[in-house]
Amino acid sequence: MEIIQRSSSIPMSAITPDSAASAGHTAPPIDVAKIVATIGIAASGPLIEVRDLSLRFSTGSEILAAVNLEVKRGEFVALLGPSGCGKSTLLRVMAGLIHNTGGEVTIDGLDPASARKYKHPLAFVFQDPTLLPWRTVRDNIRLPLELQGVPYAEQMKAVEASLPLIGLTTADATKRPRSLSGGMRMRVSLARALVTNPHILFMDEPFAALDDVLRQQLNEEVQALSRQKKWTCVFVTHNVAEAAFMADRVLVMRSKPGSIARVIDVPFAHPRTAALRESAEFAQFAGQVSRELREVMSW
Amino acid sequence: MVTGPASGVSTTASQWGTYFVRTIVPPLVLFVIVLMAWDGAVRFWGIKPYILPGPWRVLSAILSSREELTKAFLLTGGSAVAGFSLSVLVGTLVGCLFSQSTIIRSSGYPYAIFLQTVPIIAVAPLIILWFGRGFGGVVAVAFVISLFPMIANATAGMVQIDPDLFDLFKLNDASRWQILFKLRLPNSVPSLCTGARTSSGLAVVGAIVGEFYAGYGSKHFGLGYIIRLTTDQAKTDALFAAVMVSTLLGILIFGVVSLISLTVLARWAPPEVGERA
Ligand SMILES: Nc1ncnc2c1ncn2[C@@H]1O[C@H](COP(=O)(O)OP(=O)(O)O)[C@@H](O)[C@H]1O
Ligand SMILES: [Mg+2]
Repeated sequence: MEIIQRSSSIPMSAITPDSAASAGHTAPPIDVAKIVATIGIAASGPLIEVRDLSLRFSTGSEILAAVNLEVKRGEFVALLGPSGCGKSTLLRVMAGLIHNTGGEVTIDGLDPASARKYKHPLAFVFQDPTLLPWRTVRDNIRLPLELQGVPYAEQMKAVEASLPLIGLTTADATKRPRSLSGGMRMRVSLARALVTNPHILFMDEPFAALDDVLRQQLNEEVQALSRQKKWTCVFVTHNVAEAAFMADRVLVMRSKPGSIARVIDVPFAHPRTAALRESAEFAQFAGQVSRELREVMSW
Repeated sequence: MVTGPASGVSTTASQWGTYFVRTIVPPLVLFVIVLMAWDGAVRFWGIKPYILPGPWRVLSAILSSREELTKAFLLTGGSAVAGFSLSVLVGTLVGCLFSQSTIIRSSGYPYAIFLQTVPIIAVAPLIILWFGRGFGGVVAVAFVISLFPMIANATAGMVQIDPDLFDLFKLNDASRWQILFKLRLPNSVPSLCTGARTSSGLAVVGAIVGEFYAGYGSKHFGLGYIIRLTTDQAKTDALFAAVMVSTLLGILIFGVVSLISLTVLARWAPPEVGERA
């Protein structure tokens, strides 16, 4: 049922041949039609699959080796690991931004680039808000739609709809990024990600630069929103509490080369509220994850 | 802490007032001090006017030939502005081209550097030979000397971009043109402004150097021609007058370009770092 909903919730603009052409792609319409026809067939099983993935930059040693992981539809997975272990790189490979040198990444059976183009819109939230300083908040948020050739009126409608979801007001929309606080900028960055109605949301340490209170608040908001929108999320962090609070599963990475060392199921029910953080169970679980992380790091 | 009106969200009148007091008044005060020292030195040591005329002599030379100087000012200014405008246009276009591939950039950039390293005095006669004596030749010299800073800054501004932003554009299947017009070009505006400031000063130098050679003739001449003529005739007070007016032209053009760039940058979100003395 959830799956059927998902396929029908793909914005038409993302799959009509016409918009693919207007966005500057030469893919023949028949391709799109074929892909559209396959929606629902491959609907069971994990959405994102990574098999024996390895990556070596032309400059030297292996960054990722023998990475195996799966992300189910609607699942929230945290990728936890020490700095420099390859979390960002893995996320970029899964988004189709970097090509792996070995193994395989598929999203719903397709390579990531085709999947995000034709079937499962994917949004990425970076560690820095990465806003265009010369654009207003509104124009920053609508950028992805603008690039995809969505008509202006629809862009504006989508922006208006996304503002309240992420705690922004219409008054904020006309401001420029530089007059906003770090937390507000990150909210704008999140709004820009969700304006495209993504199925998949990748976040690369989005709140690492924020103070604790603000981070916890955004953890709660994004966690609730991801449930509501049924996003499939991969959330990179090096913060144990954040991973434990947000995720359904925590994947612990080891470094040199980067690979998945542990998979830990998170036992907490939804919705997750601030009260969860104060519970004994949470402290105990976070302690366990920390221990596992330490073990992995000391290898 | 932050200098200039660019520090505010909007540039209000009071900010311009502060800007005026902080950046225009101090050099003016210094100018007056230098004039007094100059006058004092000329009187004290009894320096001959053909070696170093005092400020009053220079002022009277300026006043007595103010019509000529005004015409020359406008002519030289026109060539400098024309050469500078061409530099901004061509420099930006070359920057766009260079940003498109590392191969284009690494094959073209050495020739751009050549523009900067070639002594303008040495090639000005050649440029005049090609583009003719007169306005065209002078504009060409001003253009050649002021082009490199524009190319260098335009290229830097279009290439030095947060890699995450490229990823963002790629994730939304942006075309090469979208990346150029929605990312590279706007991102380059601050460095284009930096380049324009350097370039504008050089264009004035170029116009004057061009006029050393291009001449124009006895009826129609620029500041460079006056400088050359008065040097040959040892009319030092007239030479000083022409030099002063040339300096004024340089300051004026630089000032206008700076004001325009500050206004642009105020909207463009400049870096949030202030300068400290
Ligand atoms: N483009 C690149 N070329 C070469 N090495 C890289 C590149 N990008 C990242 N690396 C290296 O890959 C490793 C993992 O980086 P990264 O994925 O950013 O780690 P993390 O996000 O876990 O901190 C680091 O050692 C880094 O130096
Ligand atoms: Mg990282």
